[in-house]
Amino acid sequence: MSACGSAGPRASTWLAGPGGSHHEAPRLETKPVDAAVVFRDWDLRPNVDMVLRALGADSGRAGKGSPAAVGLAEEAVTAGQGLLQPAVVAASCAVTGLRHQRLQLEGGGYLAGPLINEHLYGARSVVAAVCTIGPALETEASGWFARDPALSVALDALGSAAVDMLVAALCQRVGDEAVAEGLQTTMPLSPGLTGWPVATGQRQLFALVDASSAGVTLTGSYMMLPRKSASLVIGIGPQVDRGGEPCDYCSMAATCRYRQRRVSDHG
Amino acid sequence: MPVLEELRQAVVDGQAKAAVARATQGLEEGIPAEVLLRDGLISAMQEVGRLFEEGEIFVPEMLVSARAMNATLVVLKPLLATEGSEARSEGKVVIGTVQGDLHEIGKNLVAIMLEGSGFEVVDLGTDVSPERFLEAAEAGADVVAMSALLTTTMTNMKAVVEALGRAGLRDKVRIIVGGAPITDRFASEIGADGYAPDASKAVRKVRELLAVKA
Ligand code: B12
Ligand code: SF4
Repeated sequence: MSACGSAGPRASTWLAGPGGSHHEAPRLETKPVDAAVVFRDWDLRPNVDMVLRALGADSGRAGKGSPAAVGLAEEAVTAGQGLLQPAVVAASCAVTGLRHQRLQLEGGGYLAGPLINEHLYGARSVVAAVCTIGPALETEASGWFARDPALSVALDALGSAAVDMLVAALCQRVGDEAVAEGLQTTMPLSPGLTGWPVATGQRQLFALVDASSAGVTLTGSYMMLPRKSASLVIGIGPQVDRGGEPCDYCSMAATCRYRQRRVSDHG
Repeated sequence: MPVLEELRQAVVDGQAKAAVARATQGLEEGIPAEVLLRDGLISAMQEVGRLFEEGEIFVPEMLVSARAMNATLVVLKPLLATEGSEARSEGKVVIGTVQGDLHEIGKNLVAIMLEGSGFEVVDLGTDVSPERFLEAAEAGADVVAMSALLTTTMTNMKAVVEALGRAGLRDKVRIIVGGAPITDRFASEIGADGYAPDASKAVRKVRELLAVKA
């Protein structure tokens, strides 16, 4: 059940909140608050270069990998592109206050944790979202493992690249709409980054959006299914903290092969 | 270049068709399948592991090499069996992703590299309970390898270490763990014997553990 307003396709609907934009009354969809809105209009076309990077190839060399490696990535793009079923379920929640290190949201939900405090203190509203590329690609990837393990791994990488693109496209969309309203957005914050542990973060976030409407469920160990899914919140306000990027708040930043390659920076 | 060297190079380059052709040529020239396997394929995969660790190649290259090796094995396997020299296993590794975790790709890569290096691998899949790890270990394993990708699931590794301990298998079986959030420190905290950050170091670690055990 989603406790916030559904984030709608129009600019203003990302920007719920008392005073959401320009101190107006909350602009919410007329639908009941628990009707999550699912966006499926994403055109994701991960290319060979992205697949190679998602496989951990060096960014300087990606695309210049060995001919056989490039061939494998091409196979994955051809076999996997048609299996992408991108969907984002998003809810726009007005901030009602920051109390005891908790960002209280309209409808009774809240977000809490050092990362939240650091980045969302100036937000008037937050967009909470769960993004997925659906189960088809990962099912196909698993199916290939026994027959052709290399293609299986490459298809999996295509999936990771696609989720990244989806998260980036969502951030872009929310950001553009905020700017059009004279507002700013924070960096995307995902459960699992330092200062917002997976278990607590996912509990808080899944209380705000009805992820099941995009086919995403949370297991007992807080893992999202389909696997190729990501969750995040973005703060919106007239003057929010726009600094940083997810990698700055990641425990793996020092050793991560994917850092700065825009592959799976979870935001 | 002698055919054995060409076979080795084709596998390193990930050229499956060329590797199969060279292996077939080698057989025609009377080279035993076992030699093609050992000095062609396994030696190539060792080179691939070395190049990977030195940052000369990356996972995609490793994958196409493993693919070339598998394609060649299809040709060699029937002969290995008739020669009565079925690829001698370096050891038996039971591998799986721990309970509550459905990630498989890291575990799969480790399995691919272990197999490519001559180990017998029993893949239990994902979401594997301590009981299933135990059962597989009791059926005869040298190493139990566990993978986890989330901090919320890596804690389930400890239950497997404990189950193997209770069953009195701790002296017989080596335990190795890995996955993005795992560290050396975590491995020793839960009583595992080793940790490796990637698939090629995993092979080296497994060898190391078995050498100590031997
Ligand atoms: C790509 C990626 C994603 C992709 C794809 C996910 C997938 N796996 O399918 C997407 C964008 C979907 C994603 C989502 C999320 N992710 Co993510 N992701 C990554 C990333 C960058 C790479 C993972 C990967 O696929 N690597 C490629 C494979 C081949 O590598 P691997 O699994 O690590 O395996 C290698 C080694 O670990 C080792 N190994 C693996 N198993 C074993 C076993 C043994 C015995 C040994 C010896 C070695 C070994 O060898 C393997 C081969 O070299 C990692 C960070 C990183 N740098 O590793 C984070 C990471 C795994 N994700 C993380 C998080 C938090 C998430 C999310 C919860 C974020 C969010 N809120 O949305 C979600 C959860 C998804 C879900 N289903 O619930 C965390 C997990 C740790 C934690 N905090 O719990 C990580 C570590 C990043 C971080 N520090 O924040 N993610
Ligand atoms: S790309 Fe690497 S360093 Fe950046 S957030 Fe993802 S896992 Fe962390």
